[in-house]
Amino acid sequence: MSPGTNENRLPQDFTRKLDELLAGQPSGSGKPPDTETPAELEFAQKMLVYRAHPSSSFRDNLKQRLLAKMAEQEASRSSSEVPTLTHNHSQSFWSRLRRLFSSPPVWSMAAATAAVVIIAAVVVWRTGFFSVDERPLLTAQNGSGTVSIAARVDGLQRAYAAGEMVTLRFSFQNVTADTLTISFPFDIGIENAGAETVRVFNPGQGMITLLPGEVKAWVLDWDQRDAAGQLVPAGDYNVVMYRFTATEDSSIAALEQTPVITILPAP
Amino acid sequence: MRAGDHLSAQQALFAGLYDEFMPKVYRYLGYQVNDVQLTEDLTSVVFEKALVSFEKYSRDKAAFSTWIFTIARNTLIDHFRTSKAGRQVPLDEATAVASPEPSPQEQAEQMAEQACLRQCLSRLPQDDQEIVRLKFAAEFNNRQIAKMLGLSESNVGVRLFRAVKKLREDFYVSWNQ
Repeated sequence: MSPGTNENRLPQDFTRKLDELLAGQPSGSGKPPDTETPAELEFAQKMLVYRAHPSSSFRDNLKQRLLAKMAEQEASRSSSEVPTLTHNHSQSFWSRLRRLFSSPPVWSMAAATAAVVIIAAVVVWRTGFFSVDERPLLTAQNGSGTVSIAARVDGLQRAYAAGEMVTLRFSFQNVTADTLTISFPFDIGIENAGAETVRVFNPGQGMITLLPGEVKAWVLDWDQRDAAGQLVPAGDYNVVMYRFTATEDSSIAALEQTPVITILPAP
Repeated sequence: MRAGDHLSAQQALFAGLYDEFMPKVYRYLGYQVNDVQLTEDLTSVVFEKALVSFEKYSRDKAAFSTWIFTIARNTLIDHFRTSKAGRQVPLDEATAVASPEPSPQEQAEQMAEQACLRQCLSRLPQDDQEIVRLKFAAEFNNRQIAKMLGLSESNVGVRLFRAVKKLREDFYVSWNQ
């Protein structure tokens, strides 16, 4: 064996045995023992014993910290991608619209017509033309006749001081599909809590014509006096509208709700 | 983030690599620095750097072991470049040694031997120190070390054997003084 060959063989043997040690295998397994490397190998074992080892708490804490940081990074990347996606989506919508209007004239005309129809429908819908009227008595039977004129009273206060003027703001609407010509204004009565009439406002002698759906406003002031001209006592009073024959088939005028006027006691 | 929490695929991959390589990186750094706290700090720095760049890491370009130890080597170089302490290894400090509860006397002897070993290692040429660290701490084979350091595999084998032989001789001389 030449010196050169031995010089190469010793490091190779040492490396092989050291790799076996690092892999957890007993040194020299499967190979004949070498008489020249045991001292170095023994020292290598000492070096392995003195290797530093991380504590389990350090290992676990660092791992948790790193994974938490990684989760934060992934979360921030996800959140920053949302506007981009929205932006792309928006771009896609507008680019599609532009492509539509850059199409041949027939398609452009059709698209424009459809857009106008949609906008008009939205406007009409928003103005309530097609909305269902929620007022309850417009088509209901009231007594023996069908309601032709629906009336409502607005502007009532919750209560009135004794002697204070009570202003009743009426609106009358033709709820039929026909034009109505009627004497106006209607008979309006004030009744106390015992349903006794304390005051009646006689109808006028005028005539008005209401087209289908048309509304007529009328204001009536009550000075809290009864038919004898005396101030009525404190209490609740109902506003009533007496039946009025508007057409030959006994159509009537009716209040949607019975307004209640509360008069407070005099101080 | 606790054990049992749902991990994304990327987190699970990183966690697996961490479990495999963190102890090796710790040992590698522990061979060079003699303070437990400093070893932990540098290990943390290495893996935080790895985490930041993990998205860019490509397995096709380099093995994770090569990649993480390149970060560890650069971290060590940065540390010694900025550290006033340099590479001097004090004898009165030592990193934690895995040992089945030695007696105080045994523990003191082990720490003294460990410190002596570090002193001897620090007297080796820089390249030989690096070969020893990559072999004993990172547990690389000679081919991997050769690739990292730009040497031939046979050259790594020869230098490793000579380095251990020299360490052994130096250690026993120093220990018996």
